[in-house]
Amino acid sequence: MKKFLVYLPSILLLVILFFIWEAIVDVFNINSQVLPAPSAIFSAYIGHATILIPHIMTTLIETLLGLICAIVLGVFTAILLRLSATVRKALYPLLIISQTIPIIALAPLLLIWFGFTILPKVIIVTLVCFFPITVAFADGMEKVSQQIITLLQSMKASRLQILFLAELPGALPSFFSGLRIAAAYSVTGAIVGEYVGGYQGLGIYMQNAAHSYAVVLVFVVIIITSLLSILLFGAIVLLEKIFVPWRN
Amino acid sequence: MFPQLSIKHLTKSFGTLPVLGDISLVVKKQEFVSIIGPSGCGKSTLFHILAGVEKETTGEIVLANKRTEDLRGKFGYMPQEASLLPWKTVTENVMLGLRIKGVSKSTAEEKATELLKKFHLQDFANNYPATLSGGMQQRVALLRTVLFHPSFLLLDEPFGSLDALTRQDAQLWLLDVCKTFGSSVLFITHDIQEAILLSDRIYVLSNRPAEIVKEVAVTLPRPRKLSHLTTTKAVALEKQLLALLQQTKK
Repeated sequence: MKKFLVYLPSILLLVILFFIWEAIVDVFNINSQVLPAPSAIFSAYIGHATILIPHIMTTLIETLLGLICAIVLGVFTAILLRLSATVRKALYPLLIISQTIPIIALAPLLLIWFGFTILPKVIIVTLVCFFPITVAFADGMEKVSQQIITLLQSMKASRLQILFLAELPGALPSFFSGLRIAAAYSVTGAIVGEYVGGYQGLGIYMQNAAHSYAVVLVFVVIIITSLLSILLFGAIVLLEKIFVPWRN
Repeated sequence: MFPQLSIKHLTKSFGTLPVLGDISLVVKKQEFVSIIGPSGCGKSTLFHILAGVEKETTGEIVLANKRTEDLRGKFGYMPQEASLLPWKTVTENVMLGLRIKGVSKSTAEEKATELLKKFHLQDFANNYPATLSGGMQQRVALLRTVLFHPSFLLLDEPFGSLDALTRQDAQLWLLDVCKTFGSSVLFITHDIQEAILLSDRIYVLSNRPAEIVKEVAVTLPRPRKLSHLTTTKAVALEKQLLALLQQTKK
């Protein structure tokens, strides 16, 4: 409840902004083809909910699968970077260079290679989320106090024991910071992937809506997208509370 | 009887920088020996060598009459700063050494719980270190060290960051722990009174590269009390040590 109160000012501000938006559309009699009022967006969502829900589910599944792949790959890579100086020297510069490749340019290629399935979208989400997770996790392991490592070495701990007793748990707080950033990108990643081509998903729905000048539905999708991101963010904060209990 | 630990002509250089000049010292069984010296003189390096995480340049270390190459796991080493694992509870921290040795979780937990109870820390058993005061954290770290290797402790300024009152409590508590386990102790400090209160013998180290300037015996009776510090004997010793430390600065 206390946590909720922290967000109260921003929720209030958001409500006020929506009211102003509603009033402007009303007073200036703006065409809903250009800027629909919030109330119109809400009733459009209610009207299209049954059609929208499968699209939402598709996008959500792509996002979650991509995020999970990114976590597995990211953690694995970070551990490799930590354990082997050779791997670090070889891989780290390449990882950074890989971030200069525009994902939006990769999307059509992935579509050509993997077709209209959900696979290209999952890959895009993975690519987008992989980097922040890897860097945050590697950083977190780096930050574990040298005193603790020295202590474990003096106790004749093996390299693996040091990894599991100190470096992995010590990196968890950083990992969750990285995961929060990745989650913020992830939904957008899935939608970009769908934009390029597919059968179902919010990206496709939005494109169809835009092509048929159903501006109100574009707004519906935008709001759903941001709600999904907030939901994901909240889930990660909750996971962090469970897995990082010593921080509370 | 041969000493528990004897260090013979130990030197250490990092590249061309000599850190330890020529250190020879002994610690007998169940003896409490302190090392005092100016900060940055290489005391911690000496401990790193004994703890097996750093290699000496020359010299030898004889443990219980055996020359020992790999020193890891041969001492209960407690690093200078609070080194409790923030992500483990007090009990989990105390059982850490046993877990590394491969003792089963239930046995290790049993022993840790027993030890915490014996030294009146059982109320904090399930706390995370961040919720404990500095003094409590150091006590937990000490118990962890003792449980890992009770017969010989290397303590690197364990009470350096504590305020005076907490520190006195912790010092007497430490003596109690050492007595219970019959531990030999090598103790680093730069607090002269602390060295006098705790030790049987004190080595005074010079500036870097560290060499032993003087070895002093503390003949105060045991069990030690805070009031011992104000006896003429202790005050004279304090003056002597202070003068020696002043000299090392030159």
